[in-house]
Amino acid sequence: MPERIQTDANDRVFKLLAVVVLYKMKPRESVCFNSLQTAISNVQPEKAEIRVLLYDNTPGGQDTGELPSGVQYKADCENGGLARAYNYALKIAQEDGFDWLLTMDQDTTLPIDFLCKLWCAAAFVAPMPDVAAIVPSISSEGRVVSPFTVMKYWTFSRRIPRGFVGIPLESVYAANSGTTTKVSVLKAMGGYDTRFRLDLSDFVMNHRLHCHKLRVLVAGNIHLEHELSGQDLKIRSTPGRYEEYLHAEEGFCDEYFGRAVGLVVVVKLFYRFVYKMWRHGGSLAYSKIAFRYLCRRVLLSQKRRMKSWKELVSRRLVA
Amino acid sequence: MADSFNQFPVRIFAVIVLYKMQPSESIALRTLLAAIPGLQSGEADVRILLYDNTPGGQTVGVLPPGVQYKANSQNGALSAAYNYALEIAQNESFDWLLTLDQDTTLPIDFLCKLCNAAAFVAPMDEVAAIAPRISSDGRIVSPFTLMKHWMLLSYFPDGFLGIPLDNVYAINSAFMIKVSALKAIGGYDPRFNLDFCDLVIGHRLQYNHLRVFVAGNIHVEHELSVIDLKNRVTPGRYEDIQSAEEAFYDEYLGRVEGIVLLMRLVFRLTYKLWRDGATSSYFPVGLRFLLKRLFYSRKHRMKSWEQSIKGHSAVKASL
Repeated sequence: MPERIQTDANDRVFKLLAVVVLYKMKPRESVCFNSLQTAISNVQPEKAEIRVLLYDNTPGGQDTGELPSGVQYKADCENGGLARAYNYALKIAQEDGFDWLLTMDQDTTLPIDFLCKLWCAAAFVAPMPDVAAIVPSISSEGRVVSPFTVMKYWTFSRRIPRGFVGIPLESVYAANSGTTTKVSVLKAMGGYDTRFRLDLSDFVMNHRLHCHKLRVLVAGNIHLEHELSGQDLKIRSTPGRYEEYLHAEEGFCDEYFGRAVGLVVVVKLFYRFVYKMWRHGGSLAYSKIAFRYLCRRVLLSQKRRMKSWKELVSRRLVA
Repeated sequence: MADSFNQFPVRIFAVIVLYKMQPSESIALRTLLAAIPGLQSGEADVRILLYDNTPGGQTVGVLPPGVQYKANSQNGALSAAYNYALEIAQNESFDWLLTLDQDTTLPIDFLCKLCNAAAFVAPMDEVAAIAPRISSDGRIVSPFTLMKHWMLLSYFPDGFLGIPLDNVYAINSAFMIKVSALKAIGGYDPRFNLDFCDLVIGHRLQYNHLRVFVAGNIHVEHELSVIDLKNRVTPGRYEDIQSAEEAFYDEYLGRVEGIVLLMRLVFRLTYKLWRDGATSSYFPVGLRFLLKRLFYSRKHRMKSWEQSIKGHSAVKASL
């Protein structure tokens, strides 16, 4: 029989560090921060040790005003993106003995029982070494956007239906916001990939989990509402952000996948250029960007694309 | 809410049904007792009831401390045993009823994993039961889902863990159900006292929109006699199984499922009995049930089944 340390089951404490990344928004204006504070007030303090870290990516910094007690604040005036914020939080989580890291965007709305349900899920998967993370069901404008599974060669994605609770055998991909990951696992994997500072940092992390044969608990009993900025080109995205996204996508595919996925990406870029741009109301500026990335994929070698992507990443890091 | 945090201990009332076997010879009792010390302090409160269906009774000798014993020398079969256990579980405020056959082998960490799953699903009102993965002779036999109109059956893959949105059916042994849910669906149907009593419970759960947690991380070995027709099912038992199947379809399912059963009976008679090496005495039984389904009305079949149940009860009462 495996040796077990005899501890009382009721003495288990949920040790969670929650990081909320702010960008050009005051903490008190963040729906995520406010709903998180409400959720914390609903938790029995003796059952959980929950700390909140506000990581502020506002360029040039901002005056945050008075913060609630126990909330840690870190300003990154250079806007290091999500990956740097999460890695900073990971470092604190490890140093201060937290078991779980909850990553959140400023515009995610948490339900009042979020932490209670998350604690139940965490207690359930804690003894399972092959389960690394817990992902809730996320909707944006009434549509489930995360989590999902992808078919072979990334041909199609399939949203995991609302209400499903479990650990699927397929690879699960989920948005960063609302994801809770074991600190030990993140540390073992070397944290978040800083080359993907914003876009696809969630995909990269999920992909690395699957490469390590680690699984994800889909907590379909936890529903979050989230605004996805990439979804509505006309209202929430700029051509610059769109270009950054396509660049990250190109880097992700070239870094982690083979030729077959590359071909699928060509088809997707073509579809996006011809049909999706028109459907989402993208202007000529967006079409030009999409066309450029389509040409890059068709005409440039993988080596060349990787080189240019790495140069861009280095320039960004130096800056 | 704060009270949705995991509450320990998990209160489990386990019932093991014996039939012509001494408690000391039951692998289910031995392995269940061996699994108890693996629990953390305060994790679970487990009580065991031995329900002995041995006709005429038997001398059981000294029982392990804390094990309750009840003899039913008239062999009330499974449903009577489970309903008796349900009454005790409810009167003594147990949360879960664990049903076990005498020949089920439980792994040493069975209770640890089961309690972990129970604590996870306890706050979910729509989840009524936990079904571990059961295999017999290296083949997965439970749990499974049935496609529309009961046409095809598909087993959950090894390692699947979660609460599927599809219907879930599981065999009785090592199945754990919430006492409150079992009470709400009216307990076990005494008319299905042995065969199909698990499918009846599965069907009643679906009918009441209750879901089942598939615990693919708990592997249980069980000797399922019905899959070994040649060596472990006598023609008399085969007739009982056919009779229960006929009644189950007539009582709980519709016309389309009836047609599916008709096709299944034809397949069984023309191919499956021959493939399983059945002797000539099985074929008349199969043919009789096929003809009954073809030429008798549902009302007539139900009437004859209910009369046979009454006949059986009268015989037992007179003994």
